[in-house]
Amino acid sequence: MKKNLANLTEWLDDRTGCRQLLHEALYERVPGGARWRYVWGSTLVVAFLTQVITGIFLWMAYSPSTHTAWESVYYIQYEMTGGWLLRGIHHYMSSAMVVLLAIHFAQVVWDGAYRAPRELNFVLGLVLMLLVLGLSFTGYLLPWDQKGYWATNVGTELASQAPWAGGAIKKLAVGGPTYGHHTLTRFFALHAGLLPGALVAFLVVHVVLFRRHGITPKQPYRKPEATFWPDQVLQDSVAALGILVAVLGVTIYTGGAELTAPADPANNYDAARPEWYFLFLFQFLKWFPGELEVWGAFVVPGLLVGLLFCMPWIGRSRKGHLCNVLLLAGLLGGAALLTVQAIQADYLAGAADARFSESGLADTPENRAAFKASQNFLQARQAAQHQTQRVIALAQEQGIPPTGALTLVYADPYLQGPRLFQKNCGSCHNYFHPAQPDPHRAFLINPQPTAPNLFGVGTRAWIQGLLDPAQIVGADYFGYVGSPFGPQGPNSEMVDFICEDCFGGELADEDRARIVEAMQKIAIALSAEANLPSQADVDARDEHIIAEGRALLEGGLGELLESGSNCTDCHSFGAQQDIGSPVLDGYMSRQWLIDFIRTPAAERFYGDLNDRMPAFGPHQDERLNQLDDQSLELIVDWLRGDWGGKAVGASHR
Amino acid sequence: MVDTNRPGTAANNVAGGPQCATPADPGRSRRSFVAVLAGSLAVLGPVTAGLVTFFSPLFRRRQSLQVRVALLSQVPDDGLPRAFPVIADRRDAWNHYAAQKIGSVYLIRQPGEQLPVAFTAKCPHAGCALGYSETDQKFTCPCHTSRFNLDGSRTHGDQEVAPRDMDTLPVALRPLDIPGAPQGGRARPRLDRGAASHSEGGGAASHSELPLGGQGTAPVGRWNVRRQQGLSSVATPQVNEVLVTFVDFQTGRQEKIPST
Repeated sequence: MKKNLANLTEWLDDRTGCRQLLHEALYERVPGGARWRYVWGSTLVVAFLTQVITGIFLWMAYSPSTHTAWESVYYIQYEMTGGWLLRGIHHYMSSAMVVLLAIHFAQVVWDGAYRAPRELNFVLGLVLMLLVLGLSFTGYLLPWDQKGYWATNVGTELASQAPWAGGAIKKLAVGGPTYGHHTLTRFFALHAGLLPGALVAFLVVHVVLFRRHGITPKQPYRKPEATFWPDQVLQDSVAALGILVAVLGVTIYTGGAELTAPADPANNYDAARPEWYFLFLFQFLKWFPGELEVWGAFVVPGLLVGLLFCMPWIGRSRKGHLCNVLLLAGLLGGAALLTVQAIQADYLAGAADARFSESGLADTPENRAAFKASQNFLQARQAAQHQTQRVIALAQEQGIPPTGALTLVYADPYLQGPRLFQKNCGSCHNYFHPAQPDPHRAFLINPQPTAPNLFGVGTRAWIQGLLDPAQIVGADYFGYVGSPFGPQGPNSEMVDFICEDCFGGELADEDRARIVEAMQKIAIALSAEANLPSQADVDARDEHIIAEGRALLEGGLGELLESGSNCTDCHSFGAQQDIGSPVLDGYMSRQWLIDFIRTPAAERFYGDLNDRMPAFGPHQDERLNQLDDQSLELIVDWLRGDWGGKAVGASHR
Repeated sequence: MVDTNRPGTAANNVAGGPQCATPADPGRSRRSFVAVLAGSLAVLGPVTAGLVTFFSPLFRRRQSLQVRVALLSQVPDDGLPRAFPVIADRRDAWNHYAAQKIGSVYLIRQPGEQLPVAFTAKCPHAGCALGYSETDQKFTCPCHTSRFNLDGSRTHGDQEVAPRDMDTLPVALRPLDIPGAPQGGRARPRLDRGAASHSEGGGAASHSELPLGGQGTAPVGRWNVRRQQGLSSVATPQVNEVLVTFVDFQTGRQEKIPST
């Protein structure tokens, strides 16, 4: 057996010369013995190998098109066994590679290892560094999520400003005038084909040249000369393993790489930032206002990179070498400073709902603007996280239609409702839980409402508030500024009915309790008219209470009241028809609300008494309406809490 | 096991290798030339085929569409901006998308004015979407914190990160044909702020009907706002749509607006 193996080795060596090759690879001289400071080049190779391996497996599950990129990454991340780990390693190893590159580069410059005869290898190393950064830039877009999409957009927009050929460069990178399928196919071809191919080619030459000139030994030698195998290989392997363990640790600690909501060209992501190691470039641009931009984006970075390429020749003299070291320190220090600055600017406010007055910043317009910008960033991040959780929940529950995950987003009342509400309703109405406002929905709070708070509209609690003398006069119901329905308004009948007819005068506790109980039953019955999905169970359970409530609504209440007044003195309901409006049959049901928002001044609703609410959809022809049918339905479904799937972080009354 | 007699081993190489060629070989340089030429062509052929396809986006022309963005009644003449999505059909390679949001505009109508001004919501710096801050009445960019006044000018002029003021878009009004409505089917005068080259869309009206002394045919430099005297004296049709010629501006530097 042993003899056969020896024969086979012999045969292989004869045909390939592998023994010689292996010998050259493993028995390179290491003057002064193996040292930990020599591991960085090897760890970079192993890190790149990790990227190739994880990348190929990711490739097996990835599909580059605008309908499938996010979707396939979602599937890797949330459905495939171990997918999150695979993607996490790929993601964090790219960060590790950038750190390792910086160390390797700094060490080469520090040790003057670029000096003759190694100039060319230093240049090759710089090319490799640019290739790695290119890989990182192209990889960021591939998940086609909001973060990658908008951050890469900034990158390609900047590219379009390059002198002379900027527009053409952008078009070629993007594969057309705007982002689309071909942006993904091109970026993917670069990321998985051209760039790694070039990287391998350059790496081979880099390593061959490295071997040709040998290691740059660090004096003084501590140990006698050794060979690469086994001592240096041992240290290299341990270091590589250490890096993998660190990457694994970060992956497990963070739960894997982030996947934000699917890229939505129609809804900008205000917190789009490049990967952390590009942040300094992002921040750098802020120093070049107006027409100077080209300097910040191209000229200065271009000159600096050009200077790096000249290092071996600058460093031929002792002074030159010192210059190089200073340049290196300046570059790394400057990049670190700019990175910190960028992070500080974004997190200045501390929290999305922080107040400027409590921030301790001097009250200057600049500080205010910076605080506001930071707050916008934090709010956008928070909103995006919120949206991401929801889309993923929907995808897991319903599956993703062939048209992509954006279809889920656009058809989801939970996600679209707040946006549409803010745009169309929020300038008058409010939407927040009076007791515990949802921080995710802070943008729906109107400090000066001129219409009722619609949080939980149609629910038992909301209607109970409407029937409560203390609450009905508050800003959440009819007590808003300028309300014609308020106690001082010209149309205060409802408020008068609740405050005077029902609860006015000297009421014995017993009578008050009876009226309160009746009001509760009325609220339950009226709320049942809304047919809210969130109350389906309790509505079915409380069938008899609803029947009692209906009887009270239809005239029974008057028997309890001294005034003898009734709901149906004014409103049409149940058996009491053709009395007045708003009609309470189907009150706050889906159709009732849709019809109401279409034409609030219709006879069925507020008629002539309508308070300033515009008719959002009075016409058959959708083009004439302020709100198209789908938007209107989305708002109504959201207001009524009528959305499928899990509500993420929603506190719904 | 090891066959030492096959050709190509070290021993055979000495006799059969290139060392064997005599320097006096007459056709050598010609053959070398053809070898290099043929080999290069064999490689460059497919590279060229690939590059031509790769460069195909450069051969495609950008189109600017005239798009309906709002009803005039949705833009009150209070001098405050309102955001509207620009919705149009979009093609992305092999996919056709009906009614997609391709951008966003801010419309501002000054008191007494008939025509709103349209600003594209794309920052002229790096193309991020500008937001509007009601508290200080400024447009702000979430990326590099450029700020713009209500008239689109940069708050700090050339000290602002953005290289130029906000880009304006040509605006036109078009009466909406409502079947059965009083003005149904009748061509109404259309008011243009912008060049005559943007005359497509709607087709119901043409510039020759403009009662405004041909102001619609005079190009206005960079679409900047120009007070048009007498605009408000023109009879307003009952329902007007606001049309915007949507241009996807390049960021960073000024360029001509391509005609539709």
